[in-house]
Amino acid sequence: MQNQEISAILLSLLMGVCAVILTIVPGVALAWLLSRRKFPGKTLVETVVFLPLVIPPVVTGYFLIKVFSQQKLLGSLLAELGIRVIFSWTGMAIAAAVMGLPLLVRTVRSAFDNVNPKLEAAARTLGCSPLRTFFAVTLPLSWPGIVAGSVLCFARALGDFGATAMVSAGTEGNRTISLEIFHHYQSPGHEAEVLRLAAISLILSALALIASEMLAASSKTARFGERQGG
Amino acid sequence: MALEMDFRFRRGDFSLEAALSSREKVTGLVGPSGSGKTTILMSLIGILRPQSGYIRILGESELFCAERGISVPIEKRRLGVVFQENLLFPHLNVMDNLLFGYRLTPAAQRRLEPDEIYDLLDLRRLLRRGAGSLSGGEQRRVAIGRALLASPSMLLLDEPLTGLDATLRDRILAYLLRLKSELSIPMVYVSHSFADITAICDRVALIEVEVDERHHKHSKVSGLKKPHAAFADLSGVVRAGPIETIIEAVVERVDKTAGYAQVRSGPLELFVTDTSGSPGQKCFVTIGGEDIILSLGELPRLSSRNVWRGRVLDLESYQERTIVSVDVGRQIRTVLTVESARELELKPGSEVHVIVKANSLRAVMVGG
Repeated sequence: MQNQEISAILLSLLMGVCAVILTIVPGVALAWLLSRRKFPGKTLVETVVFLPLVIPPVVTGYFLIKVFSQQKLLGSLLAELGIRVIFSWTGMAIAAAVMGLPLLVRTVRSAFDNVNPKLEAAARTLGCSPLRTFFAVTLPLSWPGIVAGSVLCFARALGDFGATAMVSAGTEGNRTISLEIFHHYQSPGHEAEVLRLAAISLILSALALIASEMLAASSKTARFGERQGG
Repeated sequence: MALEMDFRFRRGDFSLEAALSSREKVTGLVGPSGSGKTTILMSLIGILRPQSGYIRILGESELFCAERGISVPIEKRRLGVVFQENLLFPHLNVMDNLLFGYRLTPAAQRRLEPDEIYDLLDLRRLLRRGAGSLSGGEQRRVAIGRALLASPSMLLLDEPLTGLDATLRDRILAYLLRLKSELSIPMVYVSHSFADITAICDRVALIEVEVDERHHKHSKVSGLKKPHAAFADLSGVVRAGPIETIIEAVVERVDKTAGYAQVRSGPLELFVTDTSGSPGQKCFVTIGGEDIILSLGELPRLSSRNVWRGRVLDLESYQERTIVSVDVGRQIRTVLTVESARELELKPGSEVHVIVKANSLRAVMVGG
C-alpha cells in the first residue's frame, strides 16, 4: 500500500472521529430540543439541520466555502486566529460534521421520543432537577440511539465525497478515501488502488455498523437486565 | 399536616373547580373517569398549572399560589407519587429505583430509612432484580417504596389497586393499610372503586361533573364526607364493590389433614382454609362484609369455626343496606339489609356474636 493511500485512510478516520466530536454535544442538545420542546422557529431549525440530507453535498460544500472564505466575516475572524478552514483538514472536518449532523440528530431525536416523559416526571417528583433528570433518566434510556446516531454520523463523514471535495479541492494530502478513489479512477492503470481502497472503505463502514450494534445490544442488557417472568 | 387547596383549572371546554381542606390521614378523591381526578393530581404534583387559586400543605411552604406568582418546581414539592403505571426506571435495578429519591434527599430531611421500607413492603428479596423482570404487584410495591424513601410530606396514590387481580389487590391493599397504621405520612388516594375507597379512606371528596348545553364539562370537588355517605350520593356513577375488612395476621398452626390453618391477629384468632403457610409466617386475611352473620344472645352449636364475641361500634346506611362496624379485638365491617339491622335492634354498644365460615376468608401468605 502506498503512503498516499495510508494517509487517505487515516484522514478519513480522522474526519469521521472529528465529525462525531464536533456534533455529539450540539446534536444531542438539538435532538432533545426538537423532541421535548415547542418553540417559535422550530420548523426553521429542523429544516436547516436536515437540509444537508436532501440537497446535493456539492451544494453544501459550496455554501461552506462561502461562509468560511477569508473574505467573509467568519472566515476572516478565524484567519486572524490562525485557523484556515478552506483547503485544509479543518474545513473538511467541518464539512463532514455538517453532513453527519442530520443523521445524528434524527436518530437521537427518535430515541428521545421513545423515552416516556412520565418517567421524567416521576424522577422530578423524587427530587430530581430537570438537568439531573436528563442525565439520570433520559440519557441512559436513549443510550443505544445515541450510539447508533454517532456511528451513522461517523460513517457518513467517512464516506462523504461532495462537500469534502469542494472544501479540500482534492489537493494532495487533503484526500480522504473517497477522494483518493476518485483521483486514481481518473488516471488509467490504477485499478488495483481503486479496488484496494474500495475494499477498505467497505470494511471500515461494516466494522462501524457491527460495533454500533454490539454497543447498543450490550448497553441494553447491562441497563435493562434480563427479562424474567414473574 | 393538612392539605388545603382551592383552585380553578381550565383547558379547552373543560373546567375544574377544586376546593378541599383535609386533615385526614387518608383522603379519598373519587369521581367518574374524565371528571378531572388526574388534573387535580397533576396540579398537586406541579405538572399542570392552574389559572387561579392556591395549593398548600400546612406545616410546609405554599406549593402554588397564582395571585402571588408562586409555583414550587416539581422536584421541590416533596410529594411522593405512586403513578398508576408504576413508572419504575427500566435501566435501574430494584434497589437503585428504591434509593433514587432517597439519595437526592438531604440527610436532615430523611424520615424513613431503606431497611424500614424493605421490611414494611417485603422488598428484600427483590433488591437485585431488574425493574423489568418484576410482576405487576411487585412493581407496585417498589413504586410505593420508592416514593416513600424520598421522605415525602404527603403520598399521592393514583388508582393503586386498579389492574391487579383479586389476590394481588388484597395484598397491596393490606400493605397500604400497614403504611396507614405505621407511618405518619398523610395520603391522597385517587380511585373510582368503592371497595378500595371504603377499605382505606377516612374521608372522601367527590368530584361531580356537569355538562352544559354547549357540551362544556364543568367539574367540581365537593366537601369531605364519610366514604359510605359519599358513595350513596354517587351510586351508579362509580363502580360499586364489596365491603370488606383486611387483617394482618400470623400463622400459628397448620393442619393439612383437617384442611385448615389457625392464624392470629392480636387477640383475634381466625381459621382459614389456606394451608400453604407455615407457623410464624405473616399473612393478610380478607373478610367479605356479606359473608358475615351477626347473632344476638346465646349461640346454638355451630359448624363454623370463626365465632367471635364483639361490640357494635357504628352503623351507617348505604343504599338499601346497613354497614355495621364491630369490634372483635379488631374492627371488622359487616353488611346487613336495613331490615335485618332493624330487627336485631342493633345500636352502638350492642353485644353480638360474629360468625364467618373458614372458607369465606381469603388468606394471602406473605414472604415465606
